Amino acid sequence: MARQEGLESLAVVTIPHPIGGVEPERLDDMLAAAVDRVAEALLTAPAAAAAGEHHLRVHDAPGDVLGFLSFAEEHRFSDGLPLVPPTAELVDRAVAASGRDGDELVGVVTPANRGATVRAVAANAVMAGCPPALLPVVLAAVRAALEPRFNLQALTTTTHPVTPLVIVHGPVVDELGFNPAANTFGQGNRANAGVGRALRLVLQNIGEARPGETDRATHGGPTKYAYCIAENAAASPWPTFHDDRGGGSRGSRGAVTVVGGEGPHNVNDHGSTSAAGILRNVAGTMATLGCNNVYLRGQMLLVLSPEHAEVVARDGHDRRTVQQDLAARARVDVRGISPGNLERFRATAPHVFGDVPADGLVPMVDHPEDVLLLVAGGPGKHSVVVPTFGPTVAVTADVDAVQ
Amino acid sequence: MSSVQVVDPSGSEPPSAHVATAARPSVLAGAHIGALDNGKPNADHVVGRLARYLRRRFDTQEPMAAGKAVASQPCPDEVLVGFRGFDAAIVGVGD
Repeated sequence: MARQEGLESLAVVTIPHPIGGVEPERLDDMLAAAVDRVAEALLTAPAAAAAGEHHLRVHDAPGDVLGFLSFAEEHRFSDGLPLVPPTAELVDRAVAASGRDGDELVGVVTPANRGATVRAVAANAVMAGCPPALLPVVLAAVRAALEPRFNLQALTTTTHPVTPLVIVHGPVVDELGFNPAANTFGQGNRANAGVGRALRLVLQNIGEARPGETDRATHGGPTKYAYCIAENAAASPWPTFHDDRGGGSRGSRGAVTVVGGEGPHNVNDHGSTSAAGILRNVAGTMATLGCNNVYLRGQMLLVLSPEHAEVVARDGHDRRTVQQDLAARARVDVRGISPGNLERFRATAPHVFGDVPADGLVPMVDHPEDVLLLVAGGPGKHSVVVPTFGPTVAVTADVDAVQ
Repeated sequence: MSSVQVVDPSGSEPPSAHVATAARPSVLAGAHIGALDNGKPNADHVVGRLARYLRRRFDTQEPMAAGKAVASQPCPDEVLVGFRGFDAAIVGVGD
């Protein structure tokens, strides 16, 4: 990865895993044994890397289905699922549908720092099964994910099971047939699946985020195949997430917001009949010791179902008071935190853990606005909490009108 | 078997610029070695202990340690400024 960043003289000394999560003194023999190699690394620059692999602009691939899938796997273009061959004709149609120049650079994708041209993004969108009309949404998602404050480099290389969740909002949801209602996180809709998968393929094929190599996820997750939902604006009792995020500010067709999220955590609440009850349950789901937000802080996403949102709004809440309520109510009990973790949390988030008593409670978010609130999904008494990576900020990008 | 022409999905080549780094020291005796803890668990112990071993075995200068709280965010500029004029640094750890 250092070489991908242009830091070719970095030398790496490897000592056996694990390093964290053990008593430090247990590492000392290993460190003593490594010191000669460290000394050598400090005195000797590694040999210059061989020239990088040259990437052809087009390939002759087998025309039969199974032959093409083997070809894609051999060239590391595959996510393991069947792919649509990105023929020049299909890619050209997608590029034309975006109204952009195929050679236009959307941005540079970490960790490989390869350039995401419109044409390359289109090739991945075709492979993901996107019809041409979806390319502007995929391009918006790529632009959003490449904003520095999103911290894509960390998201794609961490051991944490995180990936960009794409939230589609605004007129484009209906226009292009996204599913904002029942099973919005799940299977069954080509737009949700296609856009989510296309972004993942961009990260893999342009960014070279490869499992076990540059993508260091311990377990990963099914969200790393595709992770895209849409706002159910018709069911929102409040001004929409689209309005709240400032989407469409340039008269666009809609927008996407990317959130560096874990998989969805369910909030089952069939019993509460009041806002207080539902929000208490949501707060309890947010207050999860194993998620990054406990000590790395940052934002958390709440996806309220229409039925839960209706009850919460009926009891007088608006978006702001929901955020305030959850920021105050979602707290973890310090007594549940192991001593080793508490020491680490104190070092990482002293503003939260520094002076807290041993039996104290600490909030999950620093500010009410760190709770992102969206209404999506269909009938049912479930809502969803999506904890985030922590050091990442949700980014919104407009879906450009076709020029 | 029939074939089909497909567009390469891997984008354009990365920028060719490389980061300029200081030349390696020719000897360790007397060298100023930084020990930069990247915030990963036990990173402070790993780089600190290695730096002390280097001092003991190779007679480097007294090591200077610094760190950052969160591995996934860049090191603050003021920390990096503190290493100006050093001969080399140990940064750890990757996990």
